[in-house]
Amino acid sequence: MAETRAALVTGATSGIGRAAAVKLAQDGFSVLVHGRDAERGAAVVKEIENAGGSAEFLAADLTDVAAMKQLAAAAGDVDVLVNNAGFSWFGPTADLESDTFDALFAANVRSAYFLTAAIAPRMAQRGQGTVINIGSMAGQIGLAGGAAYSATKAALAAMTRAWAAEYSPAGVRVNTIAPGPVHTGGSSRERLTALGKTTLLSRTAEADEIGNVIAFLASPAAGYITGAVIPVDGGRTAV
Amino acid sequence: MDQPVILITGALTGIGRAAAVAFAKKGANVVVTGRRDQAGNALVEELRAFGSRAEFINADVRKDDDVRAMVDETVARFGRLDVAVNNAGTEGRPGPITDQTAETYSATFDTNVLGVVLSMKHQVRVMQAQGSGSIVNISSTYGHEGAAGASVHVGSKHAVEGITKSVALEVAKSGIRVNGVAPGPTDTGMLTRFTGTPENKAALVTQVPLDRLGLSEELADAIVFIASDEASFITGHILNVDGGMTTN
Repeated sequence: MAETRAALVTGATSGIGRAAAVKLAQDGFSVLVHGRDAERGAAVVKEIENAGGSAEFLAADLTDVAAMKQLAAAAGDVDVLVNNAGFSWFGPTADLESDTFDALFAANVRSAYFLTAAIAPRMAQRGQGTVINIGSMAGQIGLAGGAAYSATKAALAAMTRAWAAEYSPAGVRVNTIAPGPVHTGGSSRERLTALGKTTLLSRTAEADEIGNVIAFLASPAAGYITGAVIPVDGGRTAV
Repeated sequence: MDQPVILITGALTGIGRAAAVAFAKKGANVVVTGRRDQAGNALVEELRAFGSRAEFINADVRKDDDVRAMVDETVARFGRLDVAVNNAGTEGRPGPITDQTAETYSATFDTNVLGVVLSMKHQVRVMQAQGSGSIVNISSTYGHEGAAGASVHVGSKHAVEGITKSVALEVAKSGIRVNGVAPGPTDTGMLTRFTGTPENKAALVTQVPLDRLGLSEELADAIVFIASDEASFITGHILNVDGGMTTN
């Protein structure tokens, strides 16, 4: 590759984000590892550098639009944006406090919206770039206790389609990956194992299996794929 | 896996041919099938130039005996079958429903639907015995959308998607993944025949957010990806490779 290309991965200090950062670095991207915890960020950067890759940690609070604009400015020309940061909450609908509801939408939807708003227009100006949103199978199917979380992930898929219509004429591809159950440390082990059993492949995924699909979508091999929602869920939503 | 064994039907032109080249460039053993010996043998020479151990088998996917022999000869030659790309397909005879006949229906469904059924039947038999495998059926954006003047073709591709998902369910526990790839308008001979005029082809492009036709090589890259272990947790999915056409 003639020039080093840059990938910004939000929430990259653990789980799927970490797996994506490591894989993108293997593929030759200079990776901007976003997170909140500098110590965990440094560990991911070190892991990438030890493998011969290039990475830098950038801290930012993605609930703060001004901080997101600063992050976009610090990142410079970004070729790949992976909107991965977020969290899940499962439980009876009547138990969810309005503060937590708002925090879910701020972390999972608002952050991706305003970071994309800060970065995608510059990709469009350069006539290249790709945005990958990390949705969830919960955005496509009904899971008891997941009403709010599922709504945030369905929102990401909807934004993806609109952004494909908005930015793809300028050569910017925008897609969503919808993982099923993944071992990430973000959700309880019992819950993940039980969910994994409901997939056709009858297991829970490893984070690397999602990272590999992110790397594919970031690559020229996916040059004609935009506006798509790609489930990586062991077939759970196929039926 | 070193040098996986790949079987591609309808591999002499267009997307199938590009997929054969893409797998061969990765060093896979590639079996290409079609109905024209001369074109098949020429393609094999090209694939071998990449270092692939390639073979051509003359097979008509509408005939059970041909399909059985195609799969059995592949296994006899290379010992296993890791990936099957069921790509053989036809645009049929596009036109209004009032022009369709039992013959135009059969001409389309026998290749596009029966061909996929027979192919998977024999491929799954081998893959279940070895406890692994990956099947990729080639659908179309018309596999999940309607299109005026293409009802029979559209119907056949809808059938391919339903069959793909159902077989994915049947064989998941056997370690076999089954997925589809749905091309949007791709710059192939089939698209030229299907659209009829340059004006019709240009009109299709206006429906594509990326504002261009897809290339056979881009479809091939997507097929290679979803067939591979990189996509190990993806099954029963129809991957749109359509420049965003189905999002708006």
